[in-house]
Amino acid sequence: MIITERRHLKKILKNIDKFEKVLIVGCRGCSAVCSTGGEREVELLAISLRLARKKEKRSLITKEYTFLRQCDPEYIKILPELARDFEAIISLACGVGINLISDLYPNLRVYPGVETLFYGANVALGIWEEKCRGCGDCIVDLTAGLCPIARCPKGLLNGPCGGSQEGKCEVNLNVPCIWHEIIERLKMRGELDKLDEIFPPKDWRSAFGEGVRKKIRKDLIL
Amino acid sequence: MSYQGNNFERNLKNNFEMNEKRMKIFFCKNALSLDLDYIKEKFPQAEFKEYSCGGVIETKEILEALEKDFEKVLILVCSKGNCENKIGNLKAEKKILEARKYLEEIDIPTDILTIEMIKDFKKDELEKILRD
Repeated sequence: MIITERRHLKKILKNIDKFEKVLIVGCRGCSAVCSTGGEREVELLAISLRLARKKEKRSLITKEYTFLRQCDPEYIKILPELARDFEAIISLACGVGINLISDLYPNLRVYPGVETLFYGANVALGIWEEKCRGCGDCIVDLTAGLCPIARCPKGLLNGPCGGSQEGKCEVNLNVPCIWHEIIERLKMRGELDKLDEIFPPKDWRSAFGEGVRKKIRKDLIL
Repeated sequence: MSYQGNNFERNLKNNFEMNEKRMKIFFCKNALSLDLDYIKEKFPQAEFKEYSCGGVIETKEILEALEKDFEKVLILVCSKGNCENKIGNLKAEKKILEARKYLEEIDIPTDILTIEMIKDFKKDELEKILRD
């Protein structure tokens, strides 16, 4: 899941300062699950922005709508029609949704209503943790399912580093050293020999080596 | 109407004197079993809304009350450990905190939102809260 957090209202107000009619669009995908961009948050944002404007004795007309997803052209097809009478759009989807809207509808002014943080898991109520960096060359088959790229602050492929003490990361003592965890888990499984394998250098091109990443699957193209 | 500083206080006072409904009170029916008619008569400026539990009060409604020109919002729920639904009062507290966070970001004083947690509000207690 893509983890997002609510954007400070002052930033949003600055973006829409010169507009009087604003469309606020939520996303029932990841940002709804994060409680930052579903229907509820869309309504809260709309009321808060109107309150802020009221305080300044200025008007703000809002319209709220929540898409099933904003990262798929099919779902946002009706956006130009929805936005017809509005000067700007605030999107509560992750950065993917906002970029897609901007790509598809260059004449629509779209501004972020959330900050996009990372790919993570909801480990407890109200707590999300990064688990993957989306590098495109997965090595967790060798590391007991734990990703050192996302979960080691140094992204080491041959940890633990010298700063790891008693299973804790030197960068943040509240965080376990992921390489310590990897080794302990492999030992427990009797698979420590997996780390004896000498594998070729990681292919970072799949992460950020060749510009914007793109995946084409001909089997799905109609 | 201003939400800021002295103007806000002055407006509130004036409106109370004019007997306009300026305070919205969301309350859990389990926390407030006393006869409300007397209170409503004594504090005509307050508008009451009853809920089956404090947990179902929504942040949206709190902010909407302010948008509708209520100048204060008061939530009355059961004290901690005494909610019939276990955590309804805690949820109400979270909603108030959430609403305050929104207000804080747009420079509206957060003390216009109040929550009181009492096991079973007595007439005198409620009168004191409303007077304060």
